[in-house]
Amino acid sequence: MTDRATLRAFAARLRAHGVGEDAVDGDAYAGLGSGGDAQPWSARAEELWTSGGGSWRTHHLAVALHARAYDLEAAGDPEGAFPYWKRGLAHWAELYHDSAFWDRMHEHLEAVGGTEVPAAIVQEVRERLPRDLLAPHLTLAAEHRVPDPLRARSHMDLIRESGFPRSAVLGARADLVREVLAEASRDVEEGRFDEVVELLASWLAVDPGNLGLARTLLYAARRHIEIVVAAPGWARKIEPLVERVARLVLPAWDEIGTPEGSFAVELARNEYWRGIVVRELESGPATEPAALEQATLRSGRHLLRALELDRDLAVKNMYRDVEQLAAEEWALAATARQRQGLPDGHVRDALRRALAMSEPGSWGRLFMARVLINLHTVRPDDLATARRLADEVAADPEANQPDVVNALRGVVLSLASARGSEWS
Amino acid sequence: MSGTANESARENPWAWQAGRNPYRGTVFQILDLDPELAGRAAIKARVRKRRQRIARSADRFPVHGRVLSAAEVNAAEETLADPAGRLLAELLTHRPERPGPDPAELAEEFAETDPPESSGPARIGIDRRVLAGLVPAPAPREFVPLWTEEGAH
Repeated sequence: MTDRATLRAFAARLRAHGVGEDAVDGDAYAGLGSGGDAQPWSARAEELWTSGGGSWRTHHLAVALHARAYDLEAAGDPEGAFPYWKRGLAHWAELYHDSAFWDRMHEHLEAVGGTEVPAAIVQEVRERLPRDLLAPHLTLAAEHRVPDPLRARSHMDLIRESGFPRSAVLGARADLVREVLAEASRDVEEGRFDEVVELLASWLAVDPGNLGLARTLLYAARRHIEIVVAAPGWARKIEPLVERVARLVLPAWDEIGTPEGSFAVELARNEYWRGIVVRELESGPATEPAALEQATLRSGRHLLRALELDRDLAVKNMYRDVEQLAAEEWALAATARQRQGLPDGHVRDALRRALAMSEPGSWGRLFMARVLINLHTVRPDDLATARRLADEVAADPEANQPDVVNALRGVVLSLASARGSEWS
Repeated sequence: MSGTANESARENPWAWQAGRNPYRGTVFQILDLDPELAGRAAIKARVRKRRQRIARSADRFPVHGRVLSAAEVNAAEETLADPAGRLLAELLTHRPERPGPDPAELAEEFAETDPPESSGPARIGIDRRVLAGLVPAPAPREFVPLWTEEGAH
């Protein structure tokens, strides 16, 4: 005779079988084999757990997919491994964030051990999990950097897109380059500049947005440039370097948005060198106005960006003339526009930037005054500004070279003949 | 670097070691231990048995084709005794799942159950009074008298 309770239990078993949870977990687990040869994954188990399963389903999938990734990677099939790494890490990241999973693990530990397990132990394993799971990708990225940079880079993509907290991802990316950065610093101190740039460039191919690499590359290049610029022909020598460095650090700049600290300071210096290389190589008395305009706009923009990135750039000895250079370039751009017969609006637009510099130097002042006087429509305050600039040049004890004095004389004459002049 | 000396000292089981799969040859497999086995004494007994087997004929009990050493068994036991080590081992291992019921067996089992014996109330009370209300009213109809009694009025 069967009582009601027995029948109810039987109905529950039938229902569970119909829903398939017990069946999925049981079938998938049974398919992995048992004992010393039990496998962590099988295609059948993967299929079953992808379609359903009970409360441990995410963990089953994390183990099965991640285990398969190890096998594929070890078998030399990185394309096959990649989706398994990605899905495996995604499930692990899901478990990392799931407090209920860790509570159940904690309860299980206490149940099998028969003693209390401090919560801190579980917490410590949980907190370290992202670093532990991302570590193999650091090893593989480093291993493939030289022979197969794309493969190396795909491991860094896996880290970035793992789903673990941003701090863990940034920590892993810093771990990747810790030793390289130390090596790079030694190379710089010992003057192996070409080697260090190549070394850092090869690592940036693996993790293009890595801030530590970008900062160190800027530092190494700058230290090199500061030595090279003492010799003749420096501009042509450093041009490829500053442009290459600028390209290489762009992803890090993009990733960080607004640069700060030493990254901003080093970026500012590279922008400074980019600006004066353009000036040195492309601006001259023989340059056609249109070409001069383009060159001065480019160098002017680099110099302005340098000043935006590091407000204290002019305080640094080698860079103290940054404001003067920026003023000269923007005043030259205004001159070039004027010589092309462009409307006053365009001329004033460039001139405005030159006038914003607090230390424009004698040439900068003379160019600005000249541009103001030559405007199609000269306003009274333009003349007043031109006079102030000429006054400043006249008062500058360092502006007594013949060509400066000649240029000043020309400006003064123009001002004397200008309308409404009361200046002498 | 962050992390205490203690943390750094612990090995990362997921570290890439020439393609070694961390999910094979787990502590549970080395010790031939069901992760659900509860109780220190039971676990100890199980490990003792395993150690004896490995000591006597390790080649008969390989794990993924690898013959174990006594040192490996000892190390695995040590790992398991440490709660953090045990937790890591659990993370690397599928939680055992009981096989789902075989539908054929379920049907068989159901067929073998006796139907429950009906035990209704001892006496069924029927209220026959309702029948009174259900008696149809006589239909009004005219009929030819079968006989007449003359002089009846």
